Amino acid sequence: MIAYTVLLLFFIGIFSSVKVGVKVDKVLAFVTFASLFFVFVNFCDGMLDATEHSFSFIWNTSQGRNLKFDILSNVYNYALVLPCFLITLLSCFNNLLFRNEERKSVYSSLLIFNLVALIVLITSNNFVQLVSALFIVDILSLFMIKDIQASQRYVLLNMAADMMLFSVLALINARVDSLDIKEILRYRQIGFHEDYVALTGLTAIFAKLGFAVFQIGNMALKDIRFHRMQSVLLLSSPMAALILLLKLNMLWRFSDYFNIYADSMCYVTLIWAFVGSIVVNDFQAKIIYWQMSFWALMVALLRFYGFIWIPEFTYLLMEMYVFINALFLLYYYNNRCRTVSEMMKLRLIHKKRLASVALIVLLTVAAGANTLLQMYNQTNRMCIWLFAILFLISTAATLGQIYFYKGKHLRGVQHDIRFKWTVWTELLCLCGVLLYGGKVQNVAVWVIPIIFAFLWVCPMLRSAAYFYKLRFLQKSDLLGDIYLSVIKSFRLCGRVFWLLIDRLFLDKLVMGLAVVLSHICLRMFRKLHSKPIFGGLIVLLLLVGMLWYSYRAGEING
Amino acid sequence: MADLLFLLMVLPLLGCLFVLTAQKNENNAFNATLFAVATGVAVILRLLSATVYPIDGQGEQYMYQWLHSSHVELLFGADLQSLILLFGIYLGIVIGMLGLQQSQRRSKSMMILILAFIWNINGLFLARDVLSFYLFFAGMIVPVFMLVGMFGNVKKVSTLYLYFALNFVGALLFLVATIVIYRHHLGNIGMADLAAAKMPHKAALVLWLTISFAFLSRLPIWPCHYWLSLVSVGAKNPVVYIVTNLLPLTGLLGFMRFWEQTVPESMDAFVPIIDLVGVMTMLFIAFIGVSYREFLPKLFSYSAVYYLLFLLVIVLLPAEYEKNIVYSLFIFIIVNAALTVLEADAENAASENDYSVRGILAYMPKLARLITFFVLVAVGLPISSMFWNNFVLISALFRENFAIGIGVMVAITLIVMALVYELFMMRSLPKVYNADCEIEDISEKKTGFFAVVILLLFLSFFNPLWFVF
Repeated sequence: MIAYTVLLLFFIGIFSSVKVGVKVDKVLAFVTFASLFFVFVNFCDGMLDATEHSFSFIWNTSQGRNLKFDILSNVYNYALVLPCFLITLLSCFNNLLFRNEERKSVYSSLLIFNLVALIVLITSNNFVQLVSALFIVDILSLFMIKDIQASQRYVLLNMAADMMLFSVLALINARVDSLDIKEILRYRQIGFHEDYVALTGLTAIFAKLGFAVFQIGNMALKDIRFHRMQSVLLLSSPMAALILLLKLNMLWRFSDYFNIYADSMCYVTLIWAFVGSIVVNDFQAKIIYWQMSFWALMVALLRFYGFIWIPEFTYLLMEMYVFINALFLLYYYNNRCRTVSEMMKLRLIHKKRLASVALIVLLTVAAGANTLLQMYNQTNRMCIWLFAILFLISTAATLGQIYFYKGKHLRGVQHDIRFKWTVWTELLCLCGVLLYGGKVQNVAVWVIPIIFAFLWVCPMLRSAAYFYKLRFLQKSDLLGDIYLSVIKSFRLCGRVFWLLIDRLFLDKLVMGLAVVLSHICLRMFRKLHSKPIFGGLIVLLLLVGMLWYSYRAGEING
Repeated sequence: MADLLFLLMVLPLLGCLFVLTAQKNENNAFNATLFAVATGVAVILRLLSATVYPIDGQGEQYMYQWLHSSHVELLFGADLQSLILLFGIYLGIVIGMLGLQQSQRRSKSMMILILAFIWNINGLFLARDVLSFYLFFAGMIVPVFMLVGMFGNVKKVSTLYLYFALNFVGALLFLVATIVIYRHHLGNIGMADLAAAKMPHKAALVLWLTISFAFLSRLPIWPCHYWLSLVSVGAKNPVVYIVTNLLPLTGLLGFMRFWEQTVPESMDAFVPIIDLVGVMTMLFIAFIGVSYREFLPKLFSYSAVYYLLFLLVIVLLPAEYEKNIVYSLFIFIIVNAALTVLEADAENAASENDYSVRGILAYMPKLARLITFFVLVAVGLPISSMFWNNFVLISALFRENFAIGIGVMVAITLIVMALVYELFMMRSLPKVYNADCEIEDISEKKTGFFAVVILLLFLSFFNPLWFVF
């Protein structure tokens, strides 16, 4: 039962977040991982059982309506939770193996709480629970990023997206007068600003996924620690956005604009990610671009599969996770150099370690190719081909630069870093499981890694390193500048409004007029006093006028 | 329970007596005021308890008849809505008082004015007839004007006069309305009976227009927002800021009491004007809020936008949404007060250490956590009941009018982003900073107090009335 899993996870999260000394922290992190593993086994047991359970309690009551907290356990929800759980488990395991965190147990607890929020999101049956879980994921991502500068853009963009979703769900609630997600079907029949709902909702989801034009939030993550970036990219807001896309797909898939908007965004993202990953020098930025293209592929494929989660999507997610982990090993062995050009200048003395990473990368490519070939059909072939070609070219170019670049000025030497047997074995096992579980039937599965290896050693692609020398390309932040100018224009609008309407119109004109009028009145009264007969006549006339008016106006009393 | 109502009305006056007789040393006046307010909180909680869980034979509403005269019967009563709002106001003032600096706490006159304000607020929220409502509505101007004038750091005296004049004109308009009602019914009338009162079309129109203008003059609706902003934003004293920010609540309460069922059809033609001006002002203030570079003006813009949201809901939607408005307002008042006090702490720490407010929170982790939490509540994240109630209200606005819903959402999004952005600015270190700078974080006592407030807000997410036993 998923509710039971959530409860256990919640307690493990609390247990793990206890502040302890540095030595006890390692033990606590290990105990946390062991407990998480136990819960995972229990979860898998429940998944195999596949009986439907529902856990719900009334959490709040308003307007005569009960606001429920639901956790529905069924096969579909289990399938959706599985990749999130697996990636969280592996991230906690890696957290044990690397010295990335001062407080390992606290970081593990963060990942566990994030998993709880994702499960609540997946199993939600009403809009309020859905939005609540979404907001919690976003708040937790703030802690995961743990860097004020980097989180600024990420948080602001996600916040804007959340507000858009909030407005969309409020609009639907207004129309169907129900918080139940199933009522979306009724909304479809009734219809009420469907295009607004589709465009706003999709824009919010694309923004959270970090699609083209909106990648500014995710790109800010390049400055944080690698493992944190990886967790945020795979487990945080983008994952929540993917779940939302699945849960609310009925809201937009029947809009006239859906196909064109989704298609154009996916293809533009794929191309933008390819160009970005080729041009950019920062290694983490490259990974963000690859992840961006991966999410574009996922969205495109989900669309072709009618927004139904099939096991192949879980495979794809796991393959991406393994791929990024392999790149992390590469980064780790290359003295954690921030840029590819720095990695290129290193004298490679631990070639076996790099070869071990290469093996993992090739096996992941094979596993990925197998999954994509199984999903390949007439409708989605263009999308899969485009992704495969662009992704393989850009990754091969980068890997080729790191492995085979013969620079004239070798400035550094690879540090003597221990070979991470445990991580390597873990990744190798994962590749094996993915290939075995994916049931390789097509010979092309083995041909594609060979082509990839050929591209990898191909010197032509390495010449893309030329872009790294172009300072204007590396330093430029076109989207950042655009966003900044948008914010500046808002500020300018605010200042102009304040100046024109408040300061000039209200303060100067209206109040100035009032002051002038009061001065005129004062002068008039003084003049009246200076000429008593004339003034007395005028006052008498005014009094008579008032008497006459009060006589006429007295009618209103009936 | 009627005795409790009487006690609640008398408490601030008793407090004033104690403050007046307090010796001029350390904190006597402050302690007497705080004690009076805290006792008021206890009384309100008891009244709330009796309202939510009525004992056999008692209704949900309690009335207290003050002056027994056939023409002028002053009625006071309490219902759930008014008690929750009073509880929020009391808590807001307690928070504000705890935010006062040691030197500010010694001022007797400030304490008396605070108690006078509370007395008026009590009267206004408990008033059940038109005349007593007017008396406290108008009477409130005096302590507010004096608080702002004496402790508000208003740069231009003319601003203060204009602010007073605006509120005075509002009170005068309401006086006209009260006289018209008195004239028609040969006496005072209960607010609940106003709906049944029959008036000629023209008289009703004049009456409702004057009442509406009187209440609008208190709200940050264009053009009244300008003077309110000038007075609020300059206030360095957290209590003054909180009090001036509570004044729009009286206008909102007026609409809640008078508008719901009693407004005649003749006013229908004017409702779209109020809607339009309300939404335009929301957008306008939100844009101005984005343009500010300091936290307090942004907070003012935020509260103005939310007040207008509540106004639109009251004007546009039926009375069944009143509870949602009240629950949301309760959180809103507390969050506003807490943010004002915490921001004042950050400002003080910055000025004492000759440091910029930008990045100040990087040195004050406890304060940073507290401000972050309250900002997250303020922006409507699911940490308090405000989230759910705002969802219901905005949803209802969408149902009523799509364009208004969009306008409201745009304004809220803009102001929310502005607040969050400012939070980042306060937390991120500037490019050039003093690494050796040591700034004292807020005290343990204060942190503990705000932790209790946080608990209050968080538990309201599950049950908005969890504190009523």
